[in-house]
Amino acid sequence: MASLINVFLIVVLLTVLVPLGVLVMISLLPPGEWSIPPKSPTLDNFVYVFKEFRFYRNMLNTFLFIGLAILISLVLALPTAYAIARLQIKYYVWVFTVVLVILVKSLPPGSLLVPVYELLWKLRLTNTVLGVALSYQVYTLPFVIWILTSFLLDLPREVETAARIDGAGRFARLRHIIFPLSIPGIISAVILGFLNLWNEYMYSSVIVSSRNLQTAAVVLGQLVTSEYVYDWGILASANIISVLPAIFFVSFVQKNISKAITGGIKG
Amino acid sequence: MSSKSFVEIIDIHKSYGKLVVLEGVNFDVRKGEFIVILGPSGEGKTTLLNIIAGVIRPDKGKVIIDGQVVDDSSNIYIPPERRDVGYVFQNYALYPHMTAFDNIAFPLKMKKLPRDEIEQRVEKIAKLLKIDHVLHHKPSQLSGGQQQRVAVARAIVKEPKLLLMDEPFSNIDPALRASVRLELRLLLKSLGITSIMATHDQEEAMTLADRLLILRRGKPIQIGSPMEVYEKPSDKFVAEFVGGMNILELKSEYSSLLREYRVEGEDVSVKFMGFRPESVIISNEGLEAEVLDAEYKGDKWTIIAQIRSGEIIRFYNKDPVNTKSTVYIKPTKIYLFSSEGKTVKILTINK
Amino acid sequence: MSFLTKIRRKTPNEFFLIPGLIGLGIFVFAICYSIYMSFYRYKLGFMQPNYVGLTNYSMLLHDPVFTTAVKNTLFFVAIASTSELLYGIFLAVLLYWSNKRYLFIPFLIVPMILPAVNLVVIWRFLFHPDYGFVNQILTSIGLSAINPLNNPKWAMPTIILMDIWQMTPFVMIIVLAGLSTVPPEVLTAARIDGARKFQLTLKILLPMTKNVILAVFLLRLIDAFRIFAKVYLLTRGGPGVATETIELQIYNRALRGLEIGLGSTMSVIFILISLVVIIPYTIMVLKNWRR
Repeated sequence: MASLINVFLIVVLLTVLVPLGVLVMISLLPPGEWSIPPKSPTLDNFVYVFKEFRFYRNMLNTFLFIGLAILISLVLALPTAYAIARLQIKYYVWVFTVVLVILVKSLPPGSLLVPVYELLWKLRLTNTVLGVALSYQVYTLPFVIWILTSFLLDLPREVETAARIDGAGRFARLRHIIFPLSIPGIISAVILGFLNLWNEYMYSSVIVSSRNLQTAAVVLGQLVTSEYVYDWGILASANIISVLPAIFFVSFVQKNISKAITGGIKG
Repeated sequence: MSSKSFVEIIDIHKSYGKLVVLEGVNFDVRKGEFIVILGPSGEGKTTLLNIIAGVIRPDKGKVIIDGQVVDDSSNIYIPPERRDVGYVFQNYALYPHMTAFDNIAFPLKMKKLPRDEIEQRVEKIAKLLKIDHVLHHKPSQLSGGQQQRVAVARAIVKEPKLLLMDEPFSNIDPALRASVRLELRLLLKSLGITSIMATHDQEEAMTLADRLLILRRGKPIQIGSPMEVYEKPSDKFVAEFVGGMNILELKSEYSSLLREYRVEGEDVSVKFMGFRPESVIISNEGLEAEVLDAEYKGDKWTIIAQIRSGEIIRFYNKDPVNTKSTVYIKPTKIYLFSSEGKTVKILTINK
Repeated sequence: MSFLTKIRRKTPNEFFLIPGLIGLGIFVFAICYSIYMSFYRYKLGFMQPNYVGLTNYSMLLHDPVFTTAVKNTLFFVAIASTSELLYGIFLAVLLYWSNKRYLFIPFLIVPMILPAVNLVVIWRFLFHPDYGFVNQILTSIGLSAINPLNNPKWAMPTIILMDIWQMTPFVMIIVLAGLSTVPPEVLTAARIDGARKFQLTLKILLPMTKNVILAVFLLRLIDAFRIFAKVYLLTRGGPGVATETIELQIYNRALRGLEIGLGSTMSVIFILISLVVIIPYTIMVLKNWRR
């Protein structure tokens, strides 16, 4: 019975690995060739993507936007999540806040695109790093509040009570107790936020139009949607390079990833 | 309300929905006194400590610490962070991300004391509690006993007006408990710290307390020194809970026994009688009992026997008694309880 | 007592909510603004807002492209999330009973972390009509080549297949975590009573995980509304309007066409539709978070 299950799982594994293997093999194709597996594999595509195409600039842009967006979210989210999870708040205020967090978290980002774009346009923030990071708040702010609240709700209450007894007020508790103890929750918020936004296409492509601020996803998107793709090898190798940070992130915290994902599900 | 009382707990009520946790708790604590709240698990002890600490608020009643009303269950409420109490939690609740040193230093840091004074005081208290060699360890690297000492050190380092402890020994290895207990009592007495501790362990309560408060189903049923509580239990529950009294329902067959104590006429309200295991002597008349078992206790034996009415009793004897043999026993002191369980009379036999 | 300490003590607990509420408030303002603008005709940078009443709504409801986009979106959300739920539960159960699950899990979750662009590259290459991997295999075993991405009937199912390939691991990993929290004593007790793996799964494991399954289903439903990147990059809504979605309509007509009024109307309709899954999810979170 157990071996039958494993055989079945190996089949499932193949359905995952074959498409991934195909992507790797495409990246090794020399120009003009498209046989799988490649007859004369080459690493030239990777060299081209890095040297000529200067794809790393777009990746750095992505890092910068996401980093700033998550930083803004964390600063806004920590006190809010703390209050939702721990402080005595008037019940209707609490319900109002939670409904707001879940509503904004769950609304399709597309439904907010028009007003957000118009607002940033009027503030002359389109085509700026800050503008992109602010538009990303649609994704990151409610998400980070959600993750941190779930995390704080699971934190044992007695430690905070002990801090109260020791004379720590709300501000001191947030700084000396809640913040350091939330670091695992903050890490999972950062990782999941990164994985989520690395993917982002809609806001990144609308808020930014200048070439040197474009994100990796947008550049790749333009390559893949052009009617005729000549250089599949370059496209695939650029894709592989773009996914390396994500793979790195995940393998770095492989054990915690399912915990991070499931950590948020309870709420 | 004596002028000497340092902490006053006045008519505290607390319920969660329909569940009544505390119902009219009243007591006071003198400066430097060690009060132990004794009662079965889950009958309001922790809630009472939390109310005194200010972590939860009572529905009704008043808490006064050092002459200041800290909670009057309406407008006045001083939060725990400004009550100047220490609290040792059952599971210690140490800060997992801080070293033992930082844990102990935290209350002083919150008082914004200068760095060198903090260091001095932490080191002094750590030496007293013999944890000065583990100050740089995180709580997870400490043994259970060391964690408990860190928790105690953290609670008393700021020299609080009042120290609260919730079952502080329950996570300590039973073999070490007695010595840890003694050390703690001596330390608190030498520092003159006023303390209230909650426990369900009557032996622990008897050895530590200056005075005991017996709590049952949220009601205080007796307050007094361990000796008073032991000698003059206010009711059947206290008699059984503290020192384990044998309780028998009164039947006519005991009348001959009672006659020896010169009980004139039968008091209708008396429903139970009780005697302590150590007040029993084996003689050739009295209660007839069949011995079921004998347990060796070092200096004596505990005899477990069944009397004719079928009830099981325990008593001590210097020598073992053969099982299945029949003995006649005579208590030297008998307690009589009313049908509600209140102590009505305490009778001593004249030898 | 310093002045600052006095202020700190006086601040109500609700004060701590303010940073988040300000941020979220901007988006609530954005929603309100959309509702307001949905009654206007407004082309950004070209003309001033012009009140037109319900014209935008009636126009969209009679617009065949937009109504197709709504239908396509609902079709995608329903089919993709249901399939992912069932397949994900199935895989989670297989992993639960597998003694080698720690070998499989790291590989099985890779699709979940891939950006949509990567998926699209893979999928476009796999199904490329001339030299795609699928057609290479099909022709080599004597079958005729297919071109599903250019076929109005098969384009949407292909996108759904791609989404299943990517998002099933999400369901799988969460359901597996849920299954793992079932206390082993319960299973041992049932085993002693003679239950086999199949019965254990159906009668004990899955019923005890039903809250987690419900939660993950709601999350998938909500997330399935966000398929913009996949559709946009794979088919751009084509062939024809076969894979047109509401998000694509907002993106192309409102943003590329700068039609703020019409785009706002679409956003309002989109929000109303998505509330059907958001409301039960919100109720669930309110219940779980209540202290």
